[in-house]
Amino acid sequence: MRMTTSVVSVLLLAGAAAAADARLEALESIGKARAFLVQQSNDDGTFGKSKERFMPGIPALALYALALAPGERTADEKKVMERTAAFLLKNQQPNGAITIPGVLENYNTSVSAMALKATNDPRYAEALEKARKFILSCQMDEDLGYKKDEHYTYGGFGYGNSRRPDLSNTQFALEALKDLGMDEKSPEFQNALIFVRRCQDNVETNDIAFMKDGDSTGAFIYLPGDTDACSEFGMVKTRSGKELPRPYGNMTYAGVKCLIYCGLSKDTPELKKAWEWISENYNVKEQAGVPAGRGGEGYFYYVVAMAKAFTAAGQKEIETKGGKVNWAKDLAEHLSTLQAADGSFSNKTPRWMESDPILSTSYALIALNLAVKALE
Amino acid sequence: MRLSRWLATVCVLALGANVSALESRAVKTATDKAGNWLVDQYNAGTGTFGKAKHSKMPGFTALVVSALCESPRKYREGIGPFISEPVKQILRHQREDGAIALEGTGLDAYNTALCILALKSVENPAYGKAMEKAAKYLKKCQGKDGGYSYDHNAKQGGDLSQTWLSLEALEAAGIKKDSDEYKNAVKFIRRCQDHPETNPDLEGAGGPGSGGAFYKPGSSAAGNTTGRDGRTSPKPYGTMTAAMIESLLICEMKVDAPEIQAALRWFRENYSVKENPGAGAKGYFYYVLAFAKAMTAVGAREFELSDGRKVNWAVDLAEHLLSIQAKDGSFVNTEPQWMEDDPVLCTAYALKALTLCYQAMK
Repeated sequence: MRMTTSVVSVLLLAGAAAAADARLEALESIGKARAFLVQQSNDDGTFGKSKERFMPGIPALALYALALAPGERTADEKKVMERTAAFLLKNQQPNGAITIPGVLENYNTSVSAMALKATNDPRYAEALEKARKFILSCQMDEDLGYKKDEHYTYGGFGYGNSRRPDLSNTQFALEALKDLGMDEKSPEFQNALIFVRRCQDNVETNDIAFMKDGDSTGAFIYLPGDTDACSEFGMVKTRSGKELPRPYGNMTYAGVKCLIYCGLSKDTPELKKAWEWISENYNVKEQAGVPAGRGGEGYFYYVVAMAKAFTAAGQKEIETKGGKVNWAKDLAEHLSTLQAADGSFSNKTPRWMESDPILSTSYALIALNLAVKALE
Repeated sequence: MRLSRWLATVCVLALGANVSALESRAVKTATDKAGNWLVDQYNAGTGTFGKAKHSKMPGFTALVVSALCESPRKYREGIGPFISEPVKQILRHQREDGAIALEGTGLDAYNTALCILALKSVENPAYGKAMEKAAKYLKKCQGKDGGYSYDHNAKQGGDLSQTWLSLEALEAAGIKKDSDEYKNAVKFIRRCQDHPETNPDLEGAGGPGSGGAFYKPGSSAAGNTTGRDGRTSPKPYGTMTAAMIESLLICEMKVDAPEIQAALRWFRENYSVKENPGAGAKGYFYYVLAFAKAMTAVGAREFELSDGRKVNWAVDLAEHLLSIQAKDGSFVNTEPQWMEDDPVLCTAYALKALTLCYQAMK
């Protein structure tokens, strides 16, 4: 039936009409994913049965996905969202973090803050201000003894306030801080920009000596460095003959989003290069830039990063090797083929907890919500 | 969960293949937890780790620095102040004579050797001169018998533990292998082994001939044992036997040399990843470091015990360490001897050992 719908639309309609059709299909997927999350909601505000369900970031991601969904919320959804928000608040620590103490504190707090903020409920303002302060404490800056010229990690956000930073934690922190009203004019965002630049394979704008051996692909790595600890996908040989951490899709979309949040415009050498890489490596079916056979790893994280980056750029279409494409249409169409009958999504590759249907359905729902917006 | 891990190990051994990706990833996660815990013990301002009295010693700081820098995360100074500041502290403590140590602790050679290893681990060419100068001092701690002692006054005489660390440091500082330091060290090391065939002190049958090694000629932390001829001789134990193996390999002895073969035979008889064989819980974490270093230096992944069992040392050791790692990522010994009641020390040793396990399992 889906097949006939799309065949008919290709035959009879073109352009905008095809997008409209994709939109309807995406809305259908969204409805099913919402119903799945509601059905999986527990009385205590968590979702599902996995042992990770008590990490606030997981229910927070579900809440965020539900809050961003188009249209009205059902009475059931409202009830679920209310008790999930209460669960998050219950997990707020005296230092403002919304987390199980010591466990991925910045991730959990940033996602929880995004979720609570997305509900538009003024009751959470005080908790959100405390969370904002905690997130800022995770930034590697002078307060923690970091110096711009001495530490290539300067300006990045880490797991907690004494850990190494990385671009993944940084993208969640900046997303949350932006939602909480901060922007590129703040010194925190300007310092973050220093870090984000240093994660890009871009000889022109990356000031770290060993990154000068890169091929200037425009893609991003997990954190600056010349070891395999700086990419989740190992090392790659550059034209200079040196081995550098392999840049990959998740971090590239995260990097693009961060550069935009930090105020860089489209014509800067950083973003120009990054979009060149995205055009070359455009892929909605698996994570781009990773070694063959590993495109499934982190796929649902990838679709969120991708949708966020395109949304932040206000970019609906992009020129690729195969011609001009509409990312939202492509992504929504592919996601709907991955959805299970019960409305859930899950990743066959368990890395980064994506075999958990709560996590992957939430990610997919966020991406679908953004795609539907772009298809309006 | 433990069952599946055990099954995985059995399968791997049965196939004689490398350990599965999942298995080595679990070890990597454990190194991360240990590393993160150590980073959390960093004291901004003093550039040290932990709160113990001995935390002010530059060699102690150096041990943590090298554990973090060698770990799969490969930390370097640019990663943050928790590496760059301790390195500055290490350099600041270098004396005119090259030693990197606090005055009056009597542990100048240990401290200097550990500091050289830390400076090496950050891979910063700017520290070549400091390492050279430190190595010069370390050479002065070698006695006439070839053993290294606590400091250049050498009042206590040399011991195998100090000799092992010194040789590692001299090698790290780039001291050429044809220099006398290594040759002389071999003479000393031979005298620390229960191996009457090559140990002149035990000539005849002054020891049982187990092949194991002890702390220094005539002395062992594990007490005494009786030789074949009825003479009393020091009882060998794991740490020193492992230290001996790596030391001799640093001195360019071949694995098939009788000294090393005898030591490996001792491990076939006394193999343990759960205790320091011959000494029990005493010095367990120093043992795991020495053991992992020795096995890495020998280059054998699998190992046949005297009872015919085939073991994979890296998998066995990593499994046991994972089973005793605290939830927060740290390690500590129930037996306080040799400062092993300090979790910072034990976690640094364990992190180094886990890193070597991970590399052997990859």
